[in-house]
This record gives sequence, structure tokens and C-alpha cells, in this order.
Amino acid sequence: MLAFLIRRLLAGIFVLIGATALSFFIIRVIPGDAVTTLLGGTPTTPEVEAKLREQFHLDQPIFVQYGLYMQDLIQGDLGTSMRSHEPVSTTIKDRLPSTMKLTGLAVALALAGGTTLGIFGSLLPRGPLERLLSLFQFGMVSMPSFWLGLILLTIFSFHYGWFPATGDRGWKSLVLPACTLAIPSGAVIAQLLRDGMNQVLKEQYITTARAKGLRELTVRQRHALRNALIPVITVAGVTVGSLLTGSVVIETVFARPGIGKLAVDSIVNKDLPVVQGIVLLAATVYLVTNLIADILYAAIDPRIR
Amino acid sequence: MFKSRGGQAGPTRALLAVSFVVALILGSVPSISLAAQDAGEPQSGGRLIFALNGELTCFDPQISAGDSTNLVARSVLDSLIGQKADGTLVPWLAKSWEANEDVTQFTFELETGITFSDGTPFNADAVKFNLDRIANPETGSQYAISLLGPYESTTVVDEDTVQVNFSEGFSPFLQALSQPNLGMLSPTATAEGQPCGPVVGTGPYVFSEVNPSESVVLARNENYNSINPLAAHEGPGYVDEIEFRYIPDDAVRVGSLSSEQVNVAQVIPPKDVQGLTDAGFTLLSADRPGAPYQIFVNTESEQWSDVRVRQAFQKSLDITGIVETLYLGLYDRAWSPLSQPTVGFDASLIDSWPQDVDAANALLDEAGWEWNGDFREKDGQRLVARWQFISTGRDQRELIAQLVKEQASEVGIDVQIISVGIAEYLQAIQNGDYDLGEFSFVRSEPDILRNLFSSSNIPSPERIAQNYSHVNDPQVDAWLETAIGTLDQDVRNEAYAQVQQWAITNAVVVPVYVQTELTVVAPGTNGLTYDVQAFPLFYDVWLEQ
Amino acid sequence: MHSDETTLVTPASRLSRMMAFARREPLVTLCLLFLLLLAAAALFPDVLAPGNPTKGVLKEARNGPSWAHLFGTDAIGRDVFSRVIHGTRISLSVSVLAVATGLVVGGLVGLVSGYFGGWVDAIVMRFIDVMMAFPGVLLAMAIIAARGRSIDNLILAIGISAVPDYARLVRGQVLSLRKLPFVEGSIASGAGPVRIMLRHILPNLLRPVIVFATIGAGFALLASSAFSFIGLGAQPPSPEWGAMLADGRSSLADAWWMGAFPGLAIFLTVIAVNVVSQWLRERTQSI
Repeated sequence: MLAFLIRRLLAGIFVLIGATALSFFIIRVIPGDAVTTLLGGTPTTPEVEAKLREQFHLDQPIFVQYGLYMQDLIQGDLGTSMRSHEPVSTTIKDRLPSTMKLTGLAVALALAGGTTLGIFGSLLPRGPLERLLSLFQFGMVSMPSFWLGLILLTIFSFHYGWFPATGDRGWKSLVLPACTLAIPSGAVIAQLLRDGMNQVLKEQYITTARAKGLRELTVRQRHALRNALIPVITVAGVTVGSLLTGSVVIETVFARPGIGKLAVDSIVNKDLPVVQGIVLLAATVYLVTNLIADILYAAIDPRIR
Repeated sequence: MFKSRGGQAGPTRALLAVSFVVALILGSVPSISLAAQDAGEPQSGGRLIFALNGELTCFDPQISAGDSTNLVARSVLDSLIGQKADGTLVPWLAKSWEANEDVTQFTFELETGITFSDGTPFNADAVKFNLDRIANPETGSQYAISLLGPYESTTVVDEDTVQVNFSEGFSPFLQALSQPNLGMLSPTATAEGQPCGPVVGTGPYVFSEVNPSESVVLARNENYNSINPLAAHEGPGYVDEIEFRYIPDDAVRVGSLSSEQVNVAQVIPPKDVQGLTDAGFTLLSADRPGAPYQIFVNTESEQWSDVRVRQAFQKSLDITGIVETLYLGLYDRAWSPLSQPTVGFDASLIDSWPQDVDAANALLDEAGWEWNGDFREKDGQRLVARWQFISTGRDQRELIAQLVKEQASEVGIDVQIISVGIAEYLQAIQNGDYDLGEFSFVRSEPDILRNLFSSSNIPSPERIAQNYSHVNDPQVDAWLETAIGTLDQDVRNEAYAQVQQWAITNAVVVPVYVQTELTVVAPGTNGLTYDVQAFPLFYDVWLEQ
Repeated sequence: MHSDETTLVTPASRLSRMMAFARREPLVTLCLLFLLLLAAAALFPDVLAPGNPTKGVLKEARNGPSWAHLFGTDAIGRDVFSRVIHGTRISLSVSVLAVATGLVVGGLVGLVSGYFGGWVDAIVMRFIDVMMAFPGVLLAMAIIAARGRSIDNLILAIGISAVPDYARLVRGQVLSLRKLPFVEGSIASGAGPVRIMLRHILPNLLRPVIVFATIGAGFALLASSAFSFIGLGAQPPSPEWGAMLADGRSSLADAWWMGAFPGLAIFLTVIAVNVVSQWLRERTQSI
């Protein structure tokens, strides 16, 4: 176990360095100068432009810039935002709670809703009801999230006034965005779970277990579920990732002060230090999620251990 | 099939459409609240919630050029001079001023007894601190520094008298002083604070709460002892707090207003106005002075250096039709490189260049461009207009581009729209790699024409500047020089009128629409007005309790 | 007398078999017909919609559905019906090609990595990890920002950001499959890796991959509209459904047809694809 963790730690460091290097060079390769974007065409003086470039090391050759960046990074300094002049760590720290609340609730809703629906669906006999459920699940995956969000907003916020439309104040402001985010993922999980369970039920060792006389429900519970969960865990891991990207759109629609919205704003406005900080954060989250998923795999499927 | 025309006549149709959609989903009928607009006596108290179209990342208007930053800071900072809606300049923190003959030196007499909200006294030292700070490149001012022009220094004559010196005559300085960008900050607070952090001024409100990416809240300045020439009352502000909520998505912002989650919302799309006014909300519309949205024609590009080609392009377009259709009559079309409400706008240009497709075709025939298939050609080269277009524009500008492309193609011009981000756009401008560019800018001062047409403002690889048409004409330069070297408004107006007429006659620009601020106010919120640059003034706003 | 094993397939009997099928599976039939319609729209847009998708009549802007304009007109008077039909080819190619890109590249990587295991797996997965750690949306945005807004770059961006997902999915499946007795037996009996991959692994991969791929096709279509929402989607005046939906979203109240019809097109397409794939899965299961 220890060896496993150490290996993962080393791999993790490699990934972090790789991801930050990738972000560093990619965003500087994008055409369009960062200072120009910041100034946005409003008139200023050449001296100010020069000073801004110097402040963010943009007047140096790119490898020198990278060296300076890594130097700061090792000491824990993520740099300063070009737009707000505040430390990137503060900028990110301020917005992290909002996204975490959102994705946390959304993951919980998606897993809970999805597994319930999936199991329920697999228990249904073939027929119109089962097809209707299928259709409903398909429908939930088939709508663009901003469209779904706007519809929910129009009904539950603008018309009924039950929930605030924007911002991150109190639990009420979490409900609509979390549901919007959770619905498509939940539907996917339900579909996969149902599919997985139906498939696995046909496999031989299930028949063997039935032959041993175990009760129907136990058969499903113990064997089918366990093996159907494997692709679900994969998908859950992917879902967490997709929730982070999904939060980009949701946070924009619901005007939530989160990382997703920060990411779009920063990339569009070429706020380089902030983009790099977000990539670092996302890479870390990804590594942690991966680790958890792999541990779960090993726990569930003894064959992989 | 049912037939309906959206957004045109009939007050109840928009409401019917909403009901239809909602009823489908809910099977119920929404209720409409029609609150009677009650003027009455202003009451104190309450929190005003204002839905902003943008987000504030920098709170200091001396550093940032952002509209949102200026909008919020206007209630926190006072200026030395105020500018009324008709353009006249009135005393504010400076009770009087005079300039020397060649307009290189201004002397201001300041009001006495005014303090910043942190207790620091407002005096000549404070003024010097502010101007020097803006002029210092270390501050990193993205716009305010350019408003100072050929600024040299500020001298403190005595506690209430200050002298500002320029290396050349610079009359636009006075108007510039009225903008929040040159608003007065507390020297103590600024020296101690973070760059771009919440600023401290002498205004009726102070920064009280910052929720990053979400909102910013101003609270009433209980120590307010300043004056305000643009206001209808004196003394403390009425509302306790003003919350500026960032809601960039149009649909969500409009919905937040219609469901009264906010009291006021700005940048309302023209198509949503009817529905809101029908439901009892009030529209405040303000045309913004400065350079209207206009297309610039690069006079140095090969095909477009010919004035006949430029004039043909200008005449081929149905600007009125475009503006009417896209903005439903709520925006005015532009006729000049200055918009109608700007001081110095030349009214003789109105209706002076209507669409004339026949004339356009004739001009192109005369210039030797012959039809070949869908477009015109000369010496085997097609008549092409490469339009560097900013993809993140507002007001549905990309639809303007489509329509211009279509209409220009009717006379044989192939307009190629190159839609890019702002940075690539500016890079292309600097490289001269374009035939058409675009620009709009809010400034209540005709000197913006110097940015647009002075030969000293031609963009180059070394320098970003706004003379996108590459105008290099000594006569134009002379007019612009005359205008900044005098305070005589008549002389200035005459000079600027010449520039505007020259620009249209030589078709170096095709003005399109005047930027208009459409703000809608919920019932129960009273007293909201605009300053001359269409920034809302909150000092007189009061809420019905 | 000998029994005739072959059945004469006459047009009448083929038709009656199709009718029987339609009666048995009405939903699937409906979806198949819809997809056929889409294919027709993609291949022959001008036949189905003779109106002009890029040129509008200003005077007719923002008109609701009518006989002249089945889906109404947009903000500058263009016929929405024509635009939706002409947009079929674009939207379908975005979703199909994006999935194909992700699937082929990612699947290959995952297959190789999962099959060989050991240090090959370790190295490949580290590089995939770096890619996955880099937020897909930022990667896609970076690609579009770097290369410009166009349909091709949209396909590239969505496809590439899906590569790690397919790689991981395939790798996970391959890892389980590889340990199964019959596979191990095959390896032990000396069969080459390519043969084993083709005969044993790939067929068993099909089911979860088909699920993922069809869902992926739907997501790709939805992603293109999300990109349009943030402002990185297809360039105007391209009648790509996602772009039209994003443009029409703020007109929900007063000119609902501008966004509703493209939105409906996306919605129905994704549902149809999923229903059909579900049916296919069930059919292959019984074999």
C-alpha cells in the first residue's frame, strides 16, 4: 500500500509539472498579447504599457518567463492577477467555496438520483413504462445545460420566486444550479447502471449464484451491482471532471462567483497568472479524484487488485 | 398556423407570448403587478439593488477604464468639475477656475471644509497627489493618464488654490476632470491601500462590502459634507445601501428585474423593453456622447485609398434600416463620427448621406470596377473589404456586420468578415492588415475626434492608437490643433464641425448607431437620473418603504 | 418432395415485415425515420428548404411562424426553417466527427495501454493524466482561441478534449477483460497481441463504447452549443444549431421561435440517436 501511494505521489508531481508547463506555453502561444487585451483598445501611454509588460515579465524571452514562474511557484507564490492586481491565490481561494458547494451538491444529487433511477429502471419489466422511463432519461441528457438552466430559472425563480436567480447566498441559491448541473449526469449514470446491470445479469457466475439458490434480490445486490458499478465509477470520475467543466456554463448563467466562471473570464481576457493558477488547481483535483476512483476499483473488483 | 409579429405593435402581445410559454408548462396564468407610479416625498432607507451588465475586477477608476468601475465609483468620488446634461461645465469641488491665454496653465479655487470619508481633508495637496499619481506610469493607469494629455505638473499655491501646468495648450482637460477617471481619491487611503482596491472619496457613498465575482455594496457616507451640482437635493443620500449585482447574461438580468429581485437593471436589450414597460416598469433611455459605433475605412489600403470606392461603400448601405430593425426604434442611427448628444456635434450632417445604391454603382463604374459574376473586379483583382471584427462586441454588432456584408454585395463589394478576439484585432490594426475596422467610445468631449483623425494617432506596430482610417491630412490636423488650443466654444465647435464634414465627405468612416443606455426601473424606485455620459446617478434615488 | 429452406423475399413481404416491426417498436421506428430525415436534410438541404438561410428581408424580422416562414424569422429577417435545415449538415458533422476523433485516438491509446500494462501503461497513462488534468474546457478554449473560430476547430477542440475520457474508459474495460480466463488462455497458447485484441477484446469493448460514443455524440452536439454560449462556437452566419440556440436564448419570451426550433432539433436528434442505440444494444445482447 505504501509503495502504491509513493508511486502515485511521484506520478502526481510529474502530472502537475506537466500540466502547468502545458498551460504556460499554450496560453502564450495563443495569438494576441495579454497586455493589449487588458487595455482593450482604450488609449493610454506607451510608458504605462511598458510598465505593465515589465510587471508581468512579458518583455522577457519565454523560457526566462517560465523559469521565473517556476521559481515563484516553488515558494508558493502563484503570481498576481492582471485584471484585479490581487494575488492569484486569493482570487482562487475566494471563488473555490462556491464551486465546491455547487459540484459537491451536484455530484451527490447525480449519484443519488442516477443510481436510484438506474436500479429502479432495471427492476421494471419490459414494456411501455420502462420505455417511457428510458425516454425521460434520454430527454434529460439531450438538452443544453444553459437552456435547461434558463428554463428552470424562468419557472422557479422568475415566475414562482422560490429561489434567487443569481449569486451565492444561502442554500436557496444552490438548488437551481445544482439541479441543472446534476440532471444530465444523473441521467447518464442511470442509463449506464441499468445497462450494466442488465448485461452483467447474463453472465455466467450470476447464473451460478442463482443455481446456488440465493434469493433474487441478493443476487442482484451482491454480484450484479458490484460489477455494474465499475463502469459507473469510471463514469462518476469522468462526471466529476465534466461537472467542473459544466460549472463553467452554469456559473455563467446563474452568475455564481466560482472557478468555472473565473476560468472563462480569465482565458477570454488573457489574465495569464489566473489561468495558470486554475490549471494547477484543476490538475490537483483531478489527481485526487483519480486516486479515490482507483482505490474504489480495487475495493470493488478483486480481480484488479 | 398562427401569425404574429414580435416586438412591433400591440401592448399585450409580449405578455401573451410569455403567458403562452409559461402556461404550457404550468397550466396557470401569471399575474401582472401594475404598481402606480407615486412621486411623493423622498423617503430614507432601504437597499437599492442594481443589476450590472459587467463585473468589477478593479475598483479604482484612475487605473481601470471599465464602464462598471466608473459607474460604481461615481457615487463614491467627487470631481473638481461637473458636466451637466447639456454639456456645460459647472463648479464642483473646484468653485472656480481660469486658464492662461494659450491654455497651458489652469488655476483652480477649491471648496473649503470638505473631508474624505476617512477624515483626510480635501485640499490642494490632495489634488496634486491625485493628478501626479495618475500621470505616474508606475500607477499603471489604463485610461485616465491619456485624459491628462500633455500634463507636466501641479503646483500647490496655497491650501485652497492649485495650478495645473501643461506643455501644450490643452482645453479638453476641463471636461476630463468631470469624469470619475479623474475623481479625487483620499491621499492617505490610496497610499495605504492596494492598487485596484476599493477607493475612498468625498462622495455620498462609500465601499462597504466586496463579494468577488458576485456583487459590491456601497453604504451611505454618514460623514458626507461635500456638495453636488448635478443633484436635486443636499445632505446625505436617501438609500442606506446600494448593491451592484453582476448579472452578465441578458435573459437572466431581465428576468431578475421582471421578478423584482433587483430594483434597476442596465443594458436591457431593445426587444425586452416593451414587455417590461407594459408590466409597469419605467424605461430610462440615455444616448451616450462620444464616438458612435462606426466602421473605419483604411485609406492606406490599396483598393480603398480611392475616395470613390469609399463613398460607394458608404452609399450602398441602408444604415437606417439596419438600426431600425435591430434596435426597434430605441437607438438612433449615427450621421457623424460624433454622436448626436456630444457637444460640438454638427447637426447639418443629419440626413446628409442617405442610402443611394444607384450613386454607389455609378461611382464604382467610374472608378473602373467592373462586374464579374457576384462581385466587381479590376485588373483581375476582386473588390474586397477585409473587415477585422471584434467577436465579443455587444448590441448584436455581428448582425450589423452580416447586413453590411449583404448590402455591400449588392453593389459588388465582397466584404470579408474576420471575427477575432480583441487582442488579435488590435494586432491586425497595428499591422495595417485590414480594409475595414470598427470602433465606438463614450466621451462627452469632441476632442475624441483627435484620437480618431489626428495624424499623430495612426496605429503602427509600435503603438496602439485609434486613427484606424490612417487619416493623414494637414488640414484636419490644423482644425484639431485649433480646437484644443482655445477655450472659446464657438471656435472649437466650428473647427470640429469641419472635421466631421471632412470625415463624411471623404467617407473615411461609416457611422452606424448611437450607443444608448437602456435602463429599466421597477415600480417603487424613484429619482434615478443620468449624468451626461449616461452613468446613473444614485444620490437622489429613494425607495418606497 | 424436398423442403425449400430459402424464403422468397418479395417486395410485398419485405414491406409487411417492416410494418410488423413498426407495430412492435413504434418509438424506434419513429426515431429511425427521424434520423433518415436528418440524413436527407444533411445531404439535400436545398431540396427540403428552398429558402435562403443567409439572406434576410429586414422588413420581416422577428416574425412568428407562418405559412411563408414555417419556423418564423430571426432578428434580421432570415428564414429560421431554412437555417435549421441547412444547419443539419454542420451540426451532425460536428457531433459525429468529434466523437470519431476522440474515439479513434483515445480508444487506441487506451487499448494499447490497458493491454500491455506494465511500464507501457504507466508511461502512456502519465501523459494521458497530464492531458486529463488540464481542464478539458480550458484545453478546448485554448485550441479555438489559438486556431480561430470555425467548424473544423470546433470538431478538433471537442474531439481532443474527449480523447482522455475514451482512453480511460477503454483502458478500464481492457484491464478487466484481459484478466478473464479465456483471454489469459489465449495469451498462454501463444496468440499474438493484435489477434487477441481483435478477436477477444474489441468485440467485448463494443457495448460500453457504443454507449459512451452515442452519449458522446449527443454531448458533442450539446458542447457545440455551450461553446457558442461562451462565444467560441461557429462563426456567424453559420446556421449551426448550437449557435442559433445560444443566440435565441434571450428571446424566450417574445420571439421564442428563434431559439426553440434549433433547440428542438438538437433535443430530438440526441434523443433519437440514444433510442436507436439502446435498441441496437438490446438486439446484439440476444445474440
